[in-house]
Amino acid sequence: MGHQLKLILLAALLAMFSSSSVLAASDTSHFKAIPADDLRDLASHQQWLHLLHYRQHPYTFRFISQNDSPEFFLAEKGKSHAYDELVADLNAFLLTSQADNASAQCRFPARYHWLKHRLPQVGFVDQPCSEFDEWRDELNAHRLTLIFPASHINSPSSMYGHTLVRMDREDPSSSKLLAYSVNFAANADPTDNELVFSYKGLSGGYPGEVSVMPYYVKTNQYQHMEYRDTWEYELDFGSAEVDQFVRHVWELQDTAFDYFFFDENCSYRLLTMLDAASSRSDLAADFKMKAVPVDTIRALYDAGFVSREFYRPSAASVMESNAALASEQEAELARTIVEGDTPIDALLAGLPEESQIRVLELAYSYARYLSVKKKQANPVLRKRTLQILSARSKLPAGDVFPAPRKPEFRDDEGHGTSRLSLGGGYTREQWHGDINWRIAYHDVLDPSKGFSPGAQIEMGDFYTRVTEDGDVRLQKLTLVNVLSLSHKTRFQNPVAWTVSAGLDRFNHEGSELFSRFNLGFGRAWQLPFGLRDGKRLGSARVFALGDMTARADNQFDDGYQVSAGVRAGWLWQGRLNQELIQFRWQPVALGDETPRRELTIEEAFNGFDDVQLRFGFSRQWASSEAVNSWKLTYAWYF
Amino acid sequence: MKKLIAAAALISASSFAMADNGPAGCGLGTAVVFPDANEWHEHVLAATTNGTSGNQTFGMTSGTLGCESANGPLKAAEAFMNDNMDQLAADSARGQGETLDALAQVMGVEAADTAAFRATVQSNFDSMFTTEATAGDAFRSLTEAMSQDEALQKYVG
Repeated sequence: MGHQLKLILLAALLAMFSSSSVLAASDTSHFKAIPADDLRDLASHQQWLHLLHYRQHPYTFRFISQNDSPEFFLAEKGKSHAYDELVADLNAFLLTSQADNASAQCRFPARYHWLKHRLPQVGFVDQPCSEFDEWRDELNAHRLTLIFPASHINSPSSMYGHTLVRMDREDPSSSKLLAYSVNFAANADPTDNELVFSYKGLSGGYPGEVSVMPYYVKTNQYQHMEYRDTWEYELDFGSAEVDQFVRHVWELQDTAFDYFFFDENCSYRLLTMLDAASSRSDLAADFKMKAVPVDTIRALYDAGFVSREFYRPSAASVMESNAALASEQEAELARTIVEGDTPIDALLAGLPEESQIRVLELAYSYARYLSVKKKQANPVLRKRTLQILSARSKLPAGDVFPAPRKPEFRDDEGHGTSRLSLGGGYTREQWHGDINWRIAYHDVLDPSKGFSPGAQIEMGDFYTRVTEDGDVRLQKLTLVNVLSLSHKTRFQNPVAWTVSAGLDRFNHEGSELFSRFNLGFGRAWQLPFGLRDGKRLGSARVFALGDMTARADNQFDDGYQVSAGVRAGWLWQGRLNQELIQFRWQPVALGDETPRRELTIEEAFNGFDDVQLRFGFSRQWASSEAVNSWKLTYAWYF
Repeated sequence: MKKLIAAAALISASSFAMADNGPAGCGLGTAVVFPDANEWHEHVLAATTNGTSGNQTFGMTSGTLGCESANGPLKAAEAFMNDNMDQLAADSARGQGETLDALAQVMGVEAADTAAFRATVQSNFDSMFTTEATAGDAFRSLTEAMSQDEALQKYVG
């Protein structure tokens, strides 16, 4: 049968149904009269599947919808049968004389719009949807911008990142703060403790839901409270696609997707929403097992969807940039103003006007830092902050400091999030080969371009070793390894810290796998190296942490060892290479009383195209017995 | 809509208040500038768990522009101030900034009057922002000052 004829038949049939408003939405029997090929084509069309959030399940390979709310479907089996859903939706969209906001057209405007466009022969009659219209007009979206808040200062766990979409107005001078943003997030139960929280987060135990809020809610959070620099990527979506995106966001209201930290997370869901809005977009398909937010940005670049980037510096970046431009005297005076109670006029007396402004701007930033980051909640600081601003308001308007310099590299320009390394080594007069696969994300020896200096987070790092005797064994497994070597600055005085957990072995003969948990707190100092013409070519720091390690295995006396001591070192992170030299000294131990020490020296040389050559030496002492180990590895990032 | 899970929503406490304000969907102007940190740093802590907290606000029940359509730009301005007191105080003191410009837009201030608006806000900083003043008080001080200004009185009608 001709294609056209089928469509005409279908149209006639549909038109027939449209006159009957008692038709049950799930009734498919009426479609048996015609060859169902066209309907089947439509039901298996990529765009229809994207609108229903159908994806192939990574383990069962079945195509089902990732949306977990019955409200998202009209057909009983709509979650797994796209054809059923198509028939049910078509039936419902054809109903006429529906009350305002009551029709399926109002509930699923994006599906309706797409089907209406695909089936022009069918006489759909638009039903009134005043609530949707009002909401859409209020959003007034003309452009989409992907928002990526970069990592917190001193919170490497945020390096993993988050993304949301801002829906910008047509007029470019319109306030970005007033534009609405779409956010997909898990609704965690606040009564759950951290462990339950992590477990549910990983296993899909929380419902993920879409919310829409003004962008200023997000800037107040990211820019002014969490101190995260933000990258804004303007997307090349046409106005028809933006309209469809808005319609689709409406469809997701009050529905939930189970939220999984690693794969079906905020960034993944945004990609599926973009896919639903545009037939040019098939972005989520490449993120089957994990969706690291920064990788989703790279996918947008690869597909040619990013037209421009904007940098929104955090309040901390503004403070650091300003502090670097102020004189020593101005910075000291700013601190005195915040920490003392001498009248501000008296402290500023005699200074040129511009210098007074600089002092007050710095003082304000510092006061906010104490309040937000150091949590100094007191009415005195609050009052003083207002006095600072009051004094500032008496001076001429305008900026005395230039805007912070845009970082040379964006986060998405950093190395790939997964790493595979092959290496060889020599330990206790034995050669061995190592294969290492790390799921995510960054350690301080990886190429530092695009990452916060001194920050590290690793998740899922597996080391397999082949020894000279032909043994193959798991050498080491890191579940999580966070290191934050944030340094002291003129105004900020953060705690450096680390936490890691996993399985490990000593280099000593016959050492078996033991479980290990490590915790440390201390300080880091940035050294004035690596600066040329005020531009930073690299970052050098020294650090010292109080170090506590708990180990458990039957190789230890009493089955465990809790060692305490000091971990100190030097870290260089440059363009071409990174270097880490550190010494761990753990003289005190509970359980197994063996004192331990370790010296490690590691040098990493960055190649082009996401590769690295790394050299390492370590010497481990258990009591007075020492073992050396040498290693050379080559790593690919992808 | 489902009930808000209080601690999961990261936005400031004032925004919760807004969501509960019934059909008008507008803030009451209850926020004060620089609230004590112990009331709100918990939100920051919760936020470090990155993307794992949400709320079901959907643009209509919260946010400034919901007020605009329902109650006109002045009510919207008060709601905006309620949500942005801290940034607004900082911008007002220096007589410029993104948040101040956003307030001007909400109030419908035209480009030609922006300079007058900025100057008025800066010179009235002390009456708008005091330790006890709520967003509602700050809003009344602002409209009072604008009504004294030839270029700006038309916006406060």
